[in-house]
Amino acid sequence: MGLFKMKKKAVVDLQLSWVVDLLMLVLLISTFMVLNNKIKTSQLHDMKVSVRDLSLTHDAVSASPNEVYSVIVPKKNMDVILDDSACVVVAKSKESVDTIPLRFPCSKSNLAKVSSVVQEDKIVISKT
Amino acid sequence: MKKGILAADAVELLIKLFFVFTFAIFLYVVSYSYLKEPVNIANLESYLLSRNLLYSDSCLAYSDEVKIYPLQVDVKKLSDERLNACFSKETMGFRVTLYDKKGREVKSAKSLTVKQEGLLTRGTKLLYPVCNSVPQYKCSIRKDLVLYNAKEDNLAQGFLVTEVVNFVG
Repeated sequence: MGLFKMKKKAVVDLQLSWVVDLLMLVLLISTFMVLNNKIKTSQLHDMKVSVRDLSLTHDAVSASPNEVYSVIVPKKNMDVILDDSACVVVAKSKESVDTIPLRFPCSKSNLAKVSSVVQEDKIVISKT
Repeated sequence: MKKGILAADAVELLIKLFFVFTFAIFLYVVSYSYLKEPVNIANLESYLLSRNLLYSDSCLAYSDEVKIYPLQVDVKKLSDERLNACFSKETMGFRVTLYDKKGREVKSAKSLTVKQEGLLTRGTKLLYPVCNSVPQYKCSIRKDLVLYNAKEDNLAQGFLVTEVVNFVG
């Protein structure tokens, strides 16, 4: 009788340890899948490139000795905004809410008149 | 017998922990390299600064009523106030020095905070020893061939040296 009870307890212990192992494995695989899904989209990379692209375009327009216009078309899955007063470019994701907006500064000039206008899906930067 | 079972359990646990830690480290490395992906544009920013200085009449380019003369430095414009007004970026600081063709300093001006000035201190062996020891900053130097008005209506050849300190994160 005592031997039977011990055997039963050992079987339950064994099954429990397998369940814990299985749960741990599921947790690891699901973490990997979530991370992999985030990384596969490359949206963060696109946002980093877009803010720098717009900032450098602004600086290049500012450097021009003549009147010049430059048109930038940002990717459709993000909002890219050029704040002229503070001279900061901000990129926000349209798709994922949990992606933090990215900021990148552009060069500020009190003497040159550089302005930006949003026209449909384009950003027009001009020096007049 | 009991000791043997305990040892076997410990080995099994160690093997499991090894796999869990390996996988966790792998996930950490992948996610960290993704989030902290470097986008190094410090050299491009320095280049654009030099173009701003030499091509825009709001910076150092000489201009009259008719046109702007790119790559021709108006010495009167080379001052700290002018540089601060014509180009300011929160991640950048710079010092501009105009030399004549024999390498003698004509005039210098800067747009630097106290910290940036410390980073741009020149050393004897290394060019910027302080800056090189701080990985968050990158210092660079550019030399451009320019014309400048030495005396009234008298143009001379010289070099404009631009030293830039950039916050790269």
